Order: sequence, then C-alpha cells, then structure tokens
Amino acid sequence: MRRRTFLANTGTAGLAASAGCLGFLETQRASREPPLPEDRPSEPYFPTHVEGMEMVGTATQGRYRCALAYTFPHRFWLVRGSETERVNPRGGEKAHLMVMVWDAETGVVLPGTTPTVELTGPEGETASLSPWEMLSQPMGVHYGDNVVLGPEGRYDVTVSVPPLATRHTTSADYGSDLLEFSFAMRFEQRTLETLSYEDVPSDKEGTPGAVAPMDMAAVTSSQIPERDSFPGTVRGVQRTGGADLLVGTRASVGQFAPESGESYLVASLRTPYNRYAIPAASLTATVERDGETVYDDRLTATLDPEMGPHYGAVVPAERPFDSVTVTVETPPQLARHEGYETAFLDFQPGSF
Amino acid sequence: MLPDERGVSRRAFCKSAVAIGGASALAACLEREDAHVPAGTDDPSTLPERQHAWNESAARDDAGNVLPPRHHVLLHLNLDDSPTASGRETVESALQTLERAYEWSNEGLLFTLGYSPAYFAQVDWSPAGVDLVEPQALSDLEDPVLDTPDTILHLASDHAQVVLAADEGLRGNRDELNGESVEATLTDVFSVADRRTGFVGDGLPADHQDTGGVPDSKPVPEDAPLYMGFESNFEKSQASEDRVTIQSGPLAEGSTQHVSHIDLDLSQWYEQDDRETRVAKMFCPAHAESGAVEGTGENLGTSPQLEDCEEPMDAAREEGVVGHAQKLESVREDGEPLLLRRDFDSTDGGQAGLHFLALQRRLTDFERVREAMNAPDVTEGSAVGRRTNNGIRQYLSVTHRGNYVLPPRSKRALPTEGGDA
Repeated sequence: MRRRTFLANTGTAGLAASAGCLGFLETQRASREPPLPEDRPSEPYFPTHVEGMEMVGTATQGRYRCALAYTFPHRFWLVRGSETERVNPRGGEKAHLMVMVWDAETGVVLPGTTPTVELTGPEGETASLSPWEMLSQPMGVHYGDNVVLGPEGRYDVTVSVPPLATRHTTSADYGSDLLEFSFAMRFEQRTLETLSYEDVPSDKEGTPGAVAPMDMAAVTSSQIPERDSFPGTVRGVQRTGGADLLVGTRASVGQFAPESGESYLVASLRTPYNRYAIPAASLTATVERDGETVYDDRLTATLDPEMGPHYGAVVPAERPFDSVTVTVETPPQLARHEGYETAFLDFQPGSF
Repeated sequence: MLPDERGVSRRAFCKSAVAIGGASALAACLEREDAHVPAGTDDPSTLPERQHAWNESAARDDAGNVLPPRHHVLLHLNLDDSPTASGRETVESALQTLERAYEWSNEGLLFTLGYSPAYFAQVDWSPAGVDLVEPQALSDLEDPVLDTPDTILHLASDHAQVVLAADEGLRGNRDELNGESVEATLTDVFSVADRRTGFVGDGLPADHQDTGGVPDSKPVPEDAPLYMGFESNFEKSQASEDRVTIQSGPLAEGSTQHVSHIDLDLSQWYEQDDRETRVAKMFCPAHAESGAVEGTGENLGTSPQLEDCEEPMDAAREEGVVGHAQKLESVREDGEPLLLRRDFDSTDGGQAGLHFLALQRRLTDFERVREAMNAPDVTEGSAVGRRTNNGIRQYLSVTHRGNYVLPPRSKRALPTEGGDA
C-alpha cells in the first residue's frame, strides 16, 4: 500500500478524518493571462483583459447576503505596507474563488467580513481556505483566492461569515454569531472555458483608466455616491495615490455627533472611474480653526448605509473650520487584481 | 536515518506510527527505532510534586532553550463511573507503572493527567485557588468544537515507541513496559473518547509535508521545529514553571492547561507570502526590515529580541502589519510571560495542524493572551484586518478548544473535595 493512502486511511478519531487533501496531481495551468503591460502607471490602469465569472449563487441570513462565484485562476498582488507581492497561479489551482458579502437591507458591501470557505468535492475530498480581501476593477471589494480543486463535479461549499466588526453609524443589528452559507457548486472545466474573455486592445492596456464594473444583477454594486449626491457638505475631492479622496462634514450621522457644537468629519477614499469605497487603510485628520488645532487624530473605519465604508470622526464644530488636512497614513492593505496593483500605495496629505 | 523499503525515513515512520497508534504500529516502530530507554523509579517520592515540572528533566538546545519532547499523544478519557477509592487506586497504580518503566525525562516519558471543568462539576467541587473556566470560542472568527472529556492524558517523549507503548499499556494491551509489568490500566476506570497525536522538533515537520494544508512544493525548511518554519521555544518568551503554578488551595502546585487544535494553511504562508512577510508577521516588521532572523531563527538565542519592534498599534499604523510575537510581548506580569507553551504539530485528520497546548496559572491568563493576539484595538485603529496582516491569524483556523486543571502529583488520581469517594 502506498504510504499516502496508508496515512489517509488511518486518520485519528475526533478530528474528523478526511479522505485526504484535494489532489495536487493535475498540473494543467488553467490561466490564460497575457503578459503584464510594460510601464504600468502608479494609478489605476486598463488591464490586459477582462474575464467573466460563473455565479454559483447567493444566500441570505438575516442582514447578511453572500454570493459565491468563480473564474479562472488569476495573478493578484498582496500588500504589506506600501509593498506588493505578486502571486501567480500555481499548478493544481483550477479556479479563482470569490465571496462577496453585503448588507441585505441596504445593499452596501460589508468591509472586513473575513469569511472562510470549506469545500467538499465529488469524491469526498475536503479543502478549506481563508480568502484574501481584494479589490478588482470589474467586481470591487470581495474576498478571493486561487484554489486547488479535485475532479469536476459537485462541490458542497460552506462559507462562514463572522459578525461585522466595523463600527457603523446606525443601530442596525449585525448579530454576534458566525453565520454559515451553503452552496452547491458544479465545477466543470467546460464552464470555465465558456466564460467571456475580453482582450483589452494593446494601445489601451496599461494606460490610466479602469474597465467598467460588471453588471451583477444578482448581487449588489459596491459603488458609493459621487460627489454631487454625497450626503452632507462636501469640502472637496482630491486625487492622491491614484485614488479620489472626498472630504466632507455632516451635522450628525446616526449615533455620531448628535450634540450641537460637534460635527461628523468624513473621508471617503474611493477608486476613480468605478467609485468603489477603498477599505483597509488608516487615515488621520487635522482640523484647524482660527489658527488653532481643534482635532488631530485618526479617523475610524466606519460603515454607513448612504456613504458606504468610509473613515470618520466626531470633531468640535462650534464655528466653521479654516482647514482640514487628511492624510492616508497606511495604504489600503487589501490585495489587488490587475489594474489596481500599482495604485493606492503612495499618498500625499490633502488640505480641504 | 536510514530509509526503509518504502523510502520513508526512520524518524518519519515512527512519527506516522504515533499518529496511527496500536500494537502493530508500535511493533513496526520498535523494529525501526533502536533506542535504549532509561528506566524510571519505584520511589514516587523522588518525583516532583508538580506534574508539569518537565523543564529540569528536558533536553536543551545550544542556546539553553528547553527543547520539547519530540513525540506526543493526547488521550481524552471519560469516567465509566463516579470516582471511588478503588478507582483512584487503579489510576494511581497505572500512572506509577509508567513512572517505574520510564525515567522522568525527555529520554524516558513525561506526562500529565488533567481534569476538565466538566469533571469538577460532576464531583461537585470548586477547589479554591483554581479558576474553572469552561472552554469557549475566543474570537469572533472561530466556532470550535468545545472538548469536554472528563480527563486528558498528555504523553510526551523523544522516542515514538515510548508514547506508543505507554498508550498501549494504559489500555491493557501490553503486559510490560520497558521491562516493568503493567499493574493496572486506565481503561479499567475510563473509556478513551479521543486520541490525538503530534510531533515537534527539528526535521519532523519537514518529514510530514505529505498532508492537507501543505503545498506539494514541500516548502517546510528541513531544520524547522514547527510547520511554520520558525523557532518558538525562546526561553524569554516562555513562562517559568513557577509562574504557571497554582499558588494556593487544595490544588496548589498544580497548573491549568488549555489545549486547542488549529488547522494551518501553509499554501498561503509559503507560496503566496515571501520570507520577509513571514518574518514580519511572525515576529515584527522591524525584524523583517533588519534581517534579524536567519533561517529558523536559531541565531536569536534565548530571546526573540523584540526590543527593536514597535508597539503593536504603531507598527500597524506605520507598516500596515503587526507581528504575532510583537502583539504578545506586552502581555506579562512582573515582566514575565503568562503562558508556558508546550505545543506541537500534527497530521491528525489528514491535515497539517497544531495542538496548541499551553500551561498557565489561571485559565483566564490564556484568554488574556489570546485577546492580545486578536488585537481588536489594532484592527479598529489601523489598516490591519481581523486576518489581513494581523500576525499569523490569516493562516490559522481553530477547530477545537478544551480547558483542564492539572492537579499536583499527590492528587492526580480522581481528585475530589474530601479526597475520598
């Protein structure tokens, strides 16, 4: 008996013995990505191509709605500080699995949801993964990773979503339990091969811009309001680090700044073109009035049904400010798909 | 290390044998592992009152750090009946058999017998000086199975055959152990509810990469003591045995034990992250920057040398990442860490994992350290997420948690309030 089989058949009790890990034997590369454009700008750029995705389904529990989808294995970039690390698809990886979680009542994509995914394949093989929080031009914020899969067929997929930990402006109850969403995923190479593949013309790829958000009728859009429809008083929008930084104030937002003499300072960091809120950064603000600093501290990542994920703080506001300076202190640490990996890494303070 | 006919190295085979267990695994291991195992003592009074007093009798590395025994078995045991005087005698006799058979050392056998809060509830006893805390989920990302066996036996030795034989002897499957006759068996009193196994020490994780959660590129360094590739038993980041000892009450000189099981995702760790990131996430970003960690980190000596690492929040806000060790560094009392880690890796369930076994004076000490690892203040106040760039949380999934009390040796056999049934 081969040792591998031997071990697999003699797992211990209690810690559920699996039928072995998903096979690493298939080495066919499913990726068909062309080389990266040369001289990529340090801002969002048109990628080399756009691939469609197969929607497995959506499921709802209370305020949480969850979608599962997959496409071809992709290259993507992890971020640590202001450095990126390119991750290439590896042998055995057959799909790029994606999870999106949003508020079923407001439609807002929830930041920092941190799901885990467990798969059981057609032959009882199991795998689990904790996908990375990612940003892509067609899809916005989601969680994803390239996954090793076994044979074609039905996969039972369980996505576990912990309760929202991000501060929010409303009294909405996001619960305190880990929720499980179940999906039946039929994985077939043929399905992957029929997904749309749009080649971006060579004179366009690598130039500043972004491909449009995909039409995701079944799910929600993670786009946030543009300047003209942004609630409250918008002090300005500036381009920094390839992102748009909108800064404004509101007399009060939900539970924040209900007292007179205070207001809610909001910094909305978003992608240009597609208007996705960019989470997982840290920002500070300095507010000056009559030559005095009345606020000099961090802004806290906060969720609001109208403004989406943003960075905010309650600040003293007996009289109007002279100036507000907002600094992106740590670049957004979420992973990037092609077209975003050179952007949002190096920011300048903005005065509003 | 000679390869056997299947091309499996001898040390690898005996590790696998521990995972498999039973008489045939033991027989096969005995054939391959040619070890002289030192005999124990028939005078129990020569042994320490603390069951957890292992360090005096442990091996040490060149720097002087305690080296944990290489092979481990955890047995979950449930009482068949309420404790009786004769049951207590049987348990004590079974354990004394082990002590006669094997030297109290890494070369022989080190072991502890612990009791869960469920046991103490059953015997209706809340001993003073002990915080009997039920196991629970310790972060919002986990939903572990809560282990509640009455009793847990931890067997540890540098020799695979010793933990295998002790396991078999305690179940009544052997008449003798290392030349000593088996006088009594634990299974006369208990039923075995679960058996978990593992290994720690240079080379053992690299020998066991053919399991779930490890990519087939075999990325675990050949000299790593643990799957994640770094040393972790630095003397200065471990509590002393004194520090984890219960101070007062009927179980004074005992300790408490937390045992969790954690699945590891080494694909992301080794194939998506680069080495600098691994150092930043395991230690701190400053160590990644300075190149302080060579190889597995043996060059650091007896301390992870975190003096140049910033406060966790500062690192998170300036570097976008916070290190695992960096987060835990400040959780100390009188300058000393709270936990004495005796964790080991595992292939239980066909998956690369970690049995995280920690001793501490109070079970709430463990919860405090775990909260520092969650770092909710950092995740709220910086770009670091609950998993993203938050130490090694990205790669860990907790599957089981259990809490136990290790009574002092003199009270280790079915302790009750009156000491009698």
